[in-house]
Amino acid sequence: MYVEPENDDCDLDGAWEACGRVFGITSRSRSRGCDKTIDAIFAACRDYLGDEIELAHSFKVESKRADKKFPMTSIQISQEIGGRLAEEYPGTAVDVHNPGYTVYVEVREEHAFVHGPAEPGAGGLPTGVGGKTALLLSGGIDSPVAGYMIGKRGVELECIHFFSYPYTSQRAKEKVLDLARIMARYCGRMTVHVVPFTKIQEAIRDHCPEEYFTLVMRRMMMRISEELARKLGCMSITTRRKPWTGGVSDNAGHNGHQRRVCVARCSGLSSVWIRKRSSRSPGESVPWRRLFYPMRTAARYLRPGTPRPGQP
Amino acid sequence: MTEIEKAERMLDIETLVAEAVEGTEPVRIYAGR
Repeated sequence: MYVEPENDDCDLDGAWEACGRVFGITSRSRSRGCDKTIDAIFAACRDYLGDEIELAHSFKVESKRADKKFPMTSIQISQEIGGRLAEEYPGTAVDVHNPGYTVYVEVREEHAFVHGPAEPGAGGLPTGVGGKTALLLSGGIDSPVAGYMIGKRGVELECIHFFSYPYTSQRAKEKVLDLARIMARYCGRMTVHVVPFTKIQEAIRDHCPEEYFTLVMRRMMMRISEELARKLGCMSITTRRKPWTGGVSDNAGHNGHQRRVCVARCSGLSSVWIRKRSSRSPGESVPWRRLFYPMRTAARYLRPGTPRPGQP
Repeated sequence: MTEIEKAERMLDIETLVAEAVEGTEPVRIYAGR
């Protein structure tokens, strides 16, 4: 993938930084393009990388020739450019085994490019190749981290935020939107679905026993999330906590792995909660092993009593 | 019926969920802005 400036006013440093945050890019290099002649390639190496070569104690040239019509092979290009650079910089030795600096030459279809060693990109998979998930986004650090982790696996995000005005302030909502803006730098554009939750909280307060407030509230959140996920075409729900526990028991009982991402796939009429049960003490969860389980594997870890996919 | 289901039985869950979904406000977030 090439990122080319349209004119001299373009913010190339900004583009360079942005490329480092795009999932799916494993490495990036700032390069100089030139004509596909050996003289032009040498001139580009000398002008663009001369300072680095001069500072290094040794160097080598590595070439790739995507355009097979180019009259020289990759090895011949490396030998020719390496020889000329060695003459140009007599203080720097050629070392093909342990070079202090490596010059890369790529002969592509339209132009040739020269660059130094590549820097690592964000890695992961390109956004969207893993489908879409509904991410429950609160104002804390855990849910954005969960979103980042799942986004890095190529999953597009639809965020869901439960807003209980006036019990939570407008500033809290703005904070969530700010978090989403930071996430969008990495995970691409997204929509935050702000769900009005005040009426539900008041109904729970008025009609439910106090000791069940948290658990009932979380169950309502999951019901709404599941409905929205289905409506938005999401394949899964991503949350930082295990969806069938309240926050209190979650934090108290599973402190060691509360920050793991967990995924509940939407399937048919009911969600499939995916967790691994301990063989030593059935019914108790053990730390999460993987972010995703294949559906066949997931079926083995179904919560007792949860309808299986396709069953009413 | 489980304890949690007993705790929830006074709630009109379907209506509350439908209203919340209906009242959801989408806010578009663009990368790099």
